[in-house]
Amino acid sequence: MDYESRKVKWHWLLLFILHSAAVVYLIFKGNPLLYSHLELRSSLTVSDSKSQTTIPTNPEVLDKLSEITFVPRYNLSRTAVDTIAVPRSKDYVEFEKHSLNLGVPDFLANHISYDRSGFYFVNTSQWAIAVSPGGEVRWKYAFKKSSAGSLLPALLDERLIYLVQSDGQIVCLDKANGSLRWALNLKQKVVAPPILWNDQILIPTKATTGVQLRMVKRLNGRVMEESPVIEVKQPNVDLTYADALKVMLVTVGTKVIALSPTTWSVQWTQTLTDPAVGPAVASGTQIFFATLGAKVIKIDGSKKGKLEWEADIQMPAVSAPVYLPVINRLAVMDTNGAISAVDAKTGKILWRVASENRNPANEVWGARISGKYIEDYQMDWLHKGWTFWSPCADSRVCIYTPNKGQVVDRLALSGRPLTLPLPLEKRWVFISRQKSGGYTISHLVEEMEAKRLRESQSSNKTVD
Amino acid sequence: MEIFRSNIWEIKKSGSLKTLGGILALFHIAQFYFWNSDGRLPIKLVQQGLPMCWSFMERCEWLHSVPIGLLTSVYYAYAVFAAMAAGVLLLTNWVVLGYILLVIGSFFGLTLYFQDLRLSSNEGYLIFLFSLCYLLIPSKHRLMRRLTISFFVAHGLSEAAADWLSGIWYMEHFQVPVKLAEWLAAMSVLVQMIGAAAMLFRDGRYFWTGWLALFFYTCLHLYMGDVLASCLAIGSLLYLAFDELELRKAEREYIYQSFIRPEPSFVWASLVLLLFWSAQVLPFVSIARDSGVRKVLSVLTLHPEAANEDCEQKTFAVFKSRIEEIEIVPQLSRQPAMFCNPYLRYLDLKGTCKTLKASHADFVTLSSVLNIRNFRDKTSYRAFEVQDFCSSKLTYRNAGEVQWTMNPEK
Repeated sequence: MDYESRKVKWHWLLLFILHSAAVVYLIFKGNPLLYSHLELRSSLTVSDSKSQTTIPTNPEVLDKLSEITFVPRYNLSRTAVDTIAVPRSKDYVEFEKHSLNLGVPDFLANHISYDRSGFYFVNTSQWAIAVSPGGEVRWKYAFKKSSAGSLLPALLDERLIYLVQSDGQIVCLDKANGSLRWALNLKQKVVAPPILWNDQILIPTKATTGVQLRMVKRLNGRVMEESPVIEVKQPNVDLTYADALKVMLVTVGTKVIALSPTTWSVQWTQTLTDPAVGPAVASGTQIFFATLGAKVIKIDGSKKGKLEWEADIQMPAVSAPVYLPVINRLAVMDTNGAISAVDAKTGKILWRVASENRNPANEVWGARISGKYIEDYQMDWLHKGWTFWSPCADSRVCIYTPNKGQVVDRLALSGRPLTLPLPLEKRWVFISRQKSGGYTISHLVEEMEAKRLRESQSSNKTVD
Repeated sequence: MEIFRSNIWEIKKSGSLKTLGGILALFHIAQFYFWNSDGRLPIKLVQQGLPMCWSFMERCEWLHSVPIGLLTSVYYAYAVFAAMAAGVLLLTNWVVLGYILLVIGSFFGLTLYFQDLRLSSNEGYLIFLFSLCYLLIPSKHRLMRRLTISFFVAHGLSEAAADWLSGIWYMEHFQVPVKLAEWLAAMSVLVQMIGAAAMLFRDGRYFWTGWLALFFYTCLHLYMGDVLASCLAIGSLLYLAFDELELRKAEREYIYQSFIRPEPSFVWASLVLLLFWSAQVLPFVSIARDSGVRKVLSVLTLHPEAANEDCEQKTFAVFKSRIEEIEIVPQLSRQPAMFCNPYLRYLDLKGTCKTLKASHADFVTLSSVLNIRNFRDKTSYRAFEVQDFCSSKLTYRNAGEVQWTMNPEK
């Protein structure tokens, strides 16, 4: 047993005091913010330099950037007009249809993107599925099951597909086989559908005081330092590019902001009387909106968004209007399923017809029909056969003349269309949903073309 | 045998040391209980087949060559001997028997503990170091008192860093505001480092103030759910209290003491303390990462207690016609400080490769990336970035050859 003096010696006491002082020093060195209202944890996260590095760090880069192949409403001006230059027939038959077996239980498509290579389904949170036009599942990609974000519409170019989740996860895949090119976590909440813009992906993210446009290089996933902030109260922005004005139009609620796409500075802003439905539709210097207040509005982009006219359409619109060039007509579907046509110059309501639309798709689009029908339906040759096309009744698509709203034809589908169709030469390809809940790809082919295809198929069989 | 005889004599002479033997045996039982509740962890790790070597061993596959049946026997024998030692030392005066049982129990425990680095923990470190010192090192009274105090001070020192002081541990275990959590973390460092140092003094005011502060601090942690570490700390504090009371009694009965045997030398105890403290200051000195000194001393260094690293792992399971981003479920129980260990993550991924290959015919491989942010030294780095993790050519050491790219160390 050791016996030690209980009396505290002065040098031990001094050492104890020095030790205590050193402990206090260590505490304040470790947490200099202890007395401040600032939090240590937040200051520590600043040094996270690897958080926005792509996976892999140096992705294999394609030799050149490929063309953008899918934009909602067919183009960035959002006019929703057919991309095929050749006029179409009015007579279509459902030449082929393919019921889809996507292989994911209870898959509910939230967005569908498409181009000539096929259809790209995304559900609410996890799955992206690539399907060929012939209905064959080519590949699938799944985000983490526990992920809290929801998937936004897939962005497509000729070779790549970009999947963006609302929690900031971005994945770039090879469109042909679904192999991973690069992945990135922006770690910012994505508040609206992104778009492909030149060599970048333009992603509207949540900022402290509005919406921040983050730009990511399409080829290698590098995050650009440039990230303009748009001061808006609501985050759900829609983007439209007005080519003639060289401005990017940002629509959010009742506010329209024109940004320069090079400097991202604000050119002008305009406030609408009611919140806009969908994006702005731009043609030349004219900009059109459909609103929740049952109006179609035109503003002049060359005059800093000066209001030109407002037209009442009886019921609130359900989507942005379609704009037909040459004839200068707008059409929009309302909550009653009626289509209203408006003269884009004067704002005069020309006609209103009930489409009795019972399909999930509710957008009107425009396409030209060939000359032989122009006279049949008393249309003007000058207007080059532009017509309105719209989902109507149950599992039908109707074609309307722009002057009177006369039904040119009703095309039958075996399911209810979900989106605007994929326009191909002499055919439209629709994604539709069966009453049983399954998805179908329907090819509406021009009657003559369908006849020719059948003949060539039967002759091939004979040769075989 | 003289070494055992003198150690037993020292224990026989002191009631508090006999009690400490019982407390240490209870610590072993607690260790066994926690291993068992993790699914017989030492056995499970051997069964997984990929050992994680201690830093002082280049290869350690041979450790896993012990037949599983024999290892299972050792595993249960560990608990049985520890329980018998606790019973004998706490309830009877058969010190020799208790001592022998504790030696055997500790030997079995160490055999299991050194099988795999994943079994290492601050609690295991305390149990085995205390047991070895108690059983083999003379001058036990002073050594055990100073070692206990050193543990508290070293623990406080390892927590005097930004990761712990950010209060994250308190926020994870208790619903408290951030600032309060920061202050609790600061107070915990203060109590452990100053309160423990105060117990070095024989003056009752210093000793009991320090003791009480540590006791209440430990009880608070026990309440918050830090069960094993708090139980060990309470056990050690109880020993210190018994020891102090016994010492005071011995002082009062000074003239009745027997001095037939000389007081044991403190040289060995000093060496143990020197070694312990050399290991604790290791993180603060710059010694080459692969030097032998560092490898040996790092075994004796306490693991940082808080979530000192934050890691972000992304793993893609590649099948023939689909890719799924998956969450790798850690197959192995581990210390919080080891949570981001790249080697453990590597082992997890290799295990997942096996599982997926067995369950999915169309499975091709795993691609995985691990980013680690270290709050202690405020750095972040990509630990690995491997495209084909299931390649048979991939080992942890040659992982750089299996691109994408790989940086196993900073």
